[in-house]
Amino acid sequence: MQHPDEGMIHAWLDGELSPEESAALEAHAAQCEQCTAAIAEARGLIAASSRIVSSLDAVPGGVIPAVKPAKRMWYSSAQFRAAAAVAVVAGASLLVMRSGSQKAGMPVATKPQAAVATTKIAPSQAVQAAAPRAQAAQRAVAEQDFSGKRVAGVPARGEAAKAAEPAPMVADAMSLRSATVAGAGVDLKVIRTDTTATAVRTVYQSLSGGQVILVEESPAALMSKAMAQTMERRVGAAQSAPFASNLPAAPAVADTSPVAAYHSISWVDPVTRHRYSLSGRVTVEELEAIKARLLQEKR
Amino acid sequence: MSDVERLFRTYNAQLVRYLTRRLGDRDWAEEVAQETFVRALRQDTIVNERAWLFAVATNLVRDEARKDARRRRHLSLLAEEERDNVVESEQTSLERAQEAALARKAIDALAERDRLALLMREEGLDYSEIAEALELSPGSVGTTLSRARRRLVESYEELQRDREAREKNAAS
Repeated sequence: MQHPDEGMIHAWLDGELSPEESAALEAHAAQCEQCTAAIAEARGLIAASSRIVSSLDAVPGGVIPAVKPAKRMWYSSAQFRAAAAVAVVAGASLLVMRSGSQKAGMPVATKPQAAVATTKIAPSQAVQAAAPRAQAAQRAVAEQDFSGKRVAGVPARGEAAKAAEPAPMVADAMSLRSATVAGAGVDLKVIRTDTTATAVRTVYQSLSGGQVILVEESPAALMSKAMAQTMERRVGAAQSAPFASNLPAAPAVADTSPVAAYHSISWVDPVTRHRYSLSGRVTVEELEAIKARLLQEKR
Repeated sequence: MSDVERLFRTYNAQLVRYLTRRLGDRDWAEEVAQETFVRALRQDTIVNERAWLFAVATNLVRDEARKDARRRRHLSLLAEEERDNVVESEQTSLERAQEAALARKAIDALAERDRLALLMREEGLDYSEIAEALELSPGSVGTTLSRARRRLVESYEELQRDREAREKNAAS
């Protein structure tokens, strides 16, 4: 077999060659360094262009409406308060049952990154026959992510329906983590938790009504993050879009005037070496209060 | 469930995302998608559903763009205005917006056929569907995609380098 051209390599990686053609290409590539390198490069291009295309979806403040974050006021409605009392028991058991599970679509953020990293780290590695399958898996995950977004978009549209049926929302919030971290006089609500390979990111409702974001990074994660960033410098985008679109585009503080300045504090847990940073449009004092509240919760 | 309802449920999400990426505007994308399904309603038989829908949507965009280029300019102006007005709460969201802008530029720099093939592929269309929707020979889809991907990544990286150089100049 002659050297396959770039189009054929892409077709192979896309799983579009016939079994005979695939077999011939694989047999050739196994003995041809040049083609092995070309395949590694093509794989990198596929992953990178996928990421670039999906970053088109993250346009905060553009004319494309981003996925709406959970409405800030839902928990303060009378219906919710009434339903919450009923739902606490159900919610708690749900929490136990589902605490291990991630919200659908979250791990997606790290997928393309991982794919890019692999190809860039080891361009000369042996050709993996599994490549098209990996590609397909990635695609499947992307699909899942998208369906997740659509689901997330639905409640934003049917405002009335939401008010009428607060109970499922409670269960949902509970499954993210306990929706309200009770006690100590500080009322802290988890709006959402996003998990990537490098960090856990939790958006809380702050005391003054704004949103604060807690980012928790483990030492190992920081290492891999540094690596990932090196990769990204070579490949492109610094953040992956699915993760981006799962975050509130801009904390909904516009209606609480005046808008506070943006502050941030960070600390390292002496035991776990996990690095935390807490930030939001609230005062430093308030951040400290929330930090104290969170540390108390951990104990 | 009618046939069009089934088509809508199966393909609307994909089609809207494809069109949104193509147009940079979600409302417009949804409009075009709806019009596409209206056309499907009028069609007696559709052999390859997904390829047909993507082809019709692509042609609708093309026709409309030709008829009304002003509208698109207006929308992109609005979008820019809107972006300027956004109060960025985090460094990361600013970075994301910048990335999205770079990605948009890099995508727009592609030849139309390359861009459409790539966006369709990202929606999971296989080579035969892409070939049908874009009236290409099936054998040339791999070449089209490989060219599109390479150019996209190269121009994205170039734009990124330009931006970094500008930032460096601004800082010094």
